[in-house]
Amino acid sequence: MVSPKIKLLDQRSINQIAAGEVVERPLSVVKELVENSLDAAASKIDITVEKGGVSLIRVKDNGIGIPAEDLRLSVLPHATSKINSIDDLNNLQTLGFRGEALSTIASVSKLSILSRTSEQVSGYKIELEGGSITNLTEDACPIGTIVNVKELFFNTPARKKFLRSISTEFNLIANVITQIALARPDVAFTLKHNDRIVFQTSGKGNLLDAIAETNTLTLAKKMIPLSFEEGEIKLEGFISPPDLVKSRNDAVFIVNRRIIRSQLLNKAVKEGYHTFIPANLYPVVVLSLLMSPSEYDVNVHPAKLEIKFHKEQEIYRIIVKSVQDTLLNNIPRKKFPITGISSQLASTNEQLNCKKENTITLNSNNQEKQLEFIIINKEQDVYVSEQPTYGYDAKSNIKTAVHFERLRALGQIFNTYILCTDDISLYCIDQHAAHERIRYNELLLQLKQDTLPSQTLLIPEVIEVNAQEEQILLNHLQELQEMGFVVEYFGERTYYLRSAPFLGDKEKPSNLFKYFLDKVSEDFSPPTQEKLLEKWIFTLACHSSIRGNEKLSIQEMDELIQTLGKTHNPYSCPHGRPVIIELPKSELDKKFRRTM
Amino acid sequence: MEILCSREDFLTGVNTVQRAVPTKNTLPILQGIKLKASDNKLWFEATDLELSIRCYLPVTIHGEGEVVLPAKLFSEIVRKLPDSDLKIVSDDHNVNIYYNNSNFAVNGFDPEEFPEIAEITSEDPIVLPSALFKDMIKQTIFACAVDESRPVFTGLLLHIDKENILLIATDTHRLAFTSSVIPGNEKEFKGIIPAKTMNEIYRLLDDEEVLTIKYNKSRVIFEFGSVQILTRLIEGQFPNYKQVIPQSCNTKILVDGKKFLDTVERASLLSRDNYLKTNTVRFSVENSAIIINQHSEMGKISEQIEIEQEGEDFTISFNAKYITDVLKVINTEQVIMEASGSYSPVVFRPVSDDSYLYLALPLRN
Repeated sequence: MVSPKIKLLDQRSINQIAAGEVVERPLSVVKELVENSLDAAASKIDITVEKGGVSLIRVKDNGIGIPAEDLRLSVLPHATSKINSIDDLNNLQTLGFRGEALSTIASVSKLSILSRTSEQVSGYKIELEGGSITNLTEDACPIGTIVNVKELFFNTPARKKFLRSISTEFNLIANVITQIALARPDVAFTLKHNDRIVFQTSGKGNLLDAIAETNTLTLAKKMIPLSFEEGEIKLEGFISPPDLVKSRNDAVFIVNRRIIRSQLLNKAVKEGYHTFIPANLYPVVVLSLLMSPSEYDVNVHPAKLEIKFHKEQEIYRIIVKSVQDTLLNNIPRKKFPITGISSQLASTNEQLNCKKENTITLNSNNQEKQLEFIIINKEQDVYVSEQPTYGYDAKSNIKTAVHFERLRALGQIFNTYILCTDDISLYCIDQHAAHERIRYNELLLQLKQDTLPSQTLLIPEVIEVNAQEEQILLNHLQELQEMGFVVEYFGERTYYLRSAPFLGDKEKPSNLFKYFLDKVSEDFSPPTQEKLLEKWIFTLACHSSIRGNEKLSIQEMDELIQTLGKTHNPYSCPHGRPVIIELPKSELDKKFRRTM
Repeated sequence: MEILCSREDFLTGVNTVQRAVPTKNTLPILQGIKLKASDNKLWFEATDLELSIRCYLPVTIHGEGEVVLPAKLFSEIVRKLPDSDLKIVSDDHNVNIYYNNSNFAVNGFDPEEFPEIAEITSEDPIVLPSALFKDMIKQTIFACAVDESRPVFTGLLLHIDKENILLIATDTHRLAFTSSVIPGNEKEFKGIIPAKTMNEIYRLLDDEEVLTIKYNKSRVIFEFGSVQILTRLIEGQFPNYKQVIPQSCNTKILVDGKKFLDTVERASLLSRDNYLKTNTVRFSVENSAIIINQHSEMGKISEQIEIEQEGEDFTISFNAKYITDVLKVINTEQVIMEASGSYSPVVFRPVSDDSYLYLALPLRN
């Protein structure tokens, strides 16, 4: 056989291969084009998609447009107006920078770009097929750019074969546009699929409006604003109260107006909600981080979805803390600036809510017909001596912190729930959940006071670790020692465990040790003792608490309520289930038709 | 099958074997007790496949045969029967118990399904006095691990080497070792016996009896009186216990066992409700005294016990149970403790008796 000669590929082949990375599916095209429009300072972007983006993707913006003389250049690989050299990356203000999108899209589709700048009298249109220019003419056009992508992957049948169903492809597109719309509430987006408007944002610059427009009004009304600033890092956004959770994680993270995916941020949010919500559910979160572009690197992946933070641990800590603080000191919601949402838009949302998965909330659609119990999710520090707020407006639906010291028990129902009142609302407390929260806090306090002793082992346990675990082990010898693990090097990636925190026969020392290593690799930092032993603290708290179906006297109930009020989060049990629910007097008044 | 016997005898038989019936098992037949009448003996049998217990009663047999009856129901009935003579007649898989002028019928399992408990034919059984073996079990069994994750620690190492017999148990936090002598024994045996089996032997063994041990590579039968206990040996390597027993110490003390036990039990009351029930007790040895000064949110205790001390002072913490367990089984009035600082194992032994030794590892604070 003649050995094949090594040669440089022609540009078309290079583009088609590169397209595999940048343009994976219609979603990637939409994302690249919309980002181009945003980089062109557009304030209005219309996205039209047909057949899941396979037959047509059209992105129309009112941005600065492409000058006629640059049109031909724009479709060449590594041609960009966004950076001049790689050094500009450290101070990147635009979403794109690689100069790859248009050329790669062009190489796998029938592309046309029609554009006019404000200086030009008329627009110019360039047409390409599979990367070759077929036409370049003057054409009528408003200021801005219209990009048409037809018959995507017409020349790469293999790629086309791997596309999913039209609705799957479109859902992906809708999802990313939703996220971008949330990142840029100052831009008006319209998304159309097969001539149907899927959603529309007003571009008024208000994030909550954007949440209402892309999700539902009900959801937006419930969201809690979050705002935090530390040093160079500014954090803003909305998080859902603990009673509004989903079974799927679709948290939206925005860094300097760029949508990103981040395991780190997801972990941090989850940790912030820890014990507020059950472990298998996710809050609705839209968080926007503002920080110097030099603090992270976007050039990690061609799709630019992943970014690398330089100070991961600090960002993790800030998010955990701000989420926790926000949940605990959650400001009454009456000041929420929900403005300008027309009923027409709301109804559009209702028609289209098929695209959104169901939100788990007690607030069902037919809330008018049901007696609505509201899970209390507000807290103010109950120790703050403040004037009683008897000027409470019973008509409004504002939920504030429960003043536990004013609660008195009325009785028990089903031997499981305690009914109590502060003469403003009626409350129902789950006695087991309440006691569990109290016991959990007591145990945590105990654990903070005296650390768990470490039991030396007569016969050391041999622990084998993989390379990654070994690194963690070596990097955290100090913390391990402090927690009571005494390890000794034995041989290649094998260690002797000579001493471990004493848990009786509840857990094998080596399992506890492995658990420590797992926690470090999951959470990016070594766990505290409470965290390491949480599983057992939960179990102990649960087992030593009163159960449902246990009769209590009024004195016992009062005592339980008062002790509960003194815990730092009396509203959810350690597993994240609600402890107390409220039925406001206004609701009763309404049900009995005393007020209209 | 048709037999005559007293209710009391019958109950003894049921009680003897019942502990071998597994509480949970996927094989329904194992929930049964097998009765077998032959040669003027009524045999009771139960097994969880690891441990089998078998015993017999001398009864009057009018017809031989065998049945398997659900253990729980059957034992409850026998317990609740009036104290009288019983006639037990089987019909197919079912049994009728006749008492006074009444009768109770129990539906049983097919005896063919009941696993055969294989005999061990060993020409050379080891024979030893029951009282001695019982004592050895009592002194060591508490040190076995409960956790099943490392099976070798859930058993006791029985090592018979000619005239010497050793029994050792450890849960990796402590170790109990006892030895004795079987005069004239020529045989050798080494194997790990499950603690559950040892418990049953301890429960059923009568001080007056003679214990016969028959064995092969994987199983052992303990025979005494009319009872046979068959067990599988635990597979695996028992740790080298000789290696972990310290050969020297920095401090040697002599303490009144009963006084020390009472003190530790009182002190542990304060830590009993502690976080995750660690039950820590901390004491110092100084100026020929053991000093306990312990406090928790529930209260505090200060105690001092006079001791004989040789060597340096030290302070040490233990899981209280590790101390109380051993002090309960050491029979001598005075107990020797050998220690080397706060983090090394402490050895406990009875005065002037080298046959017993207990080792406990301290807690680090």
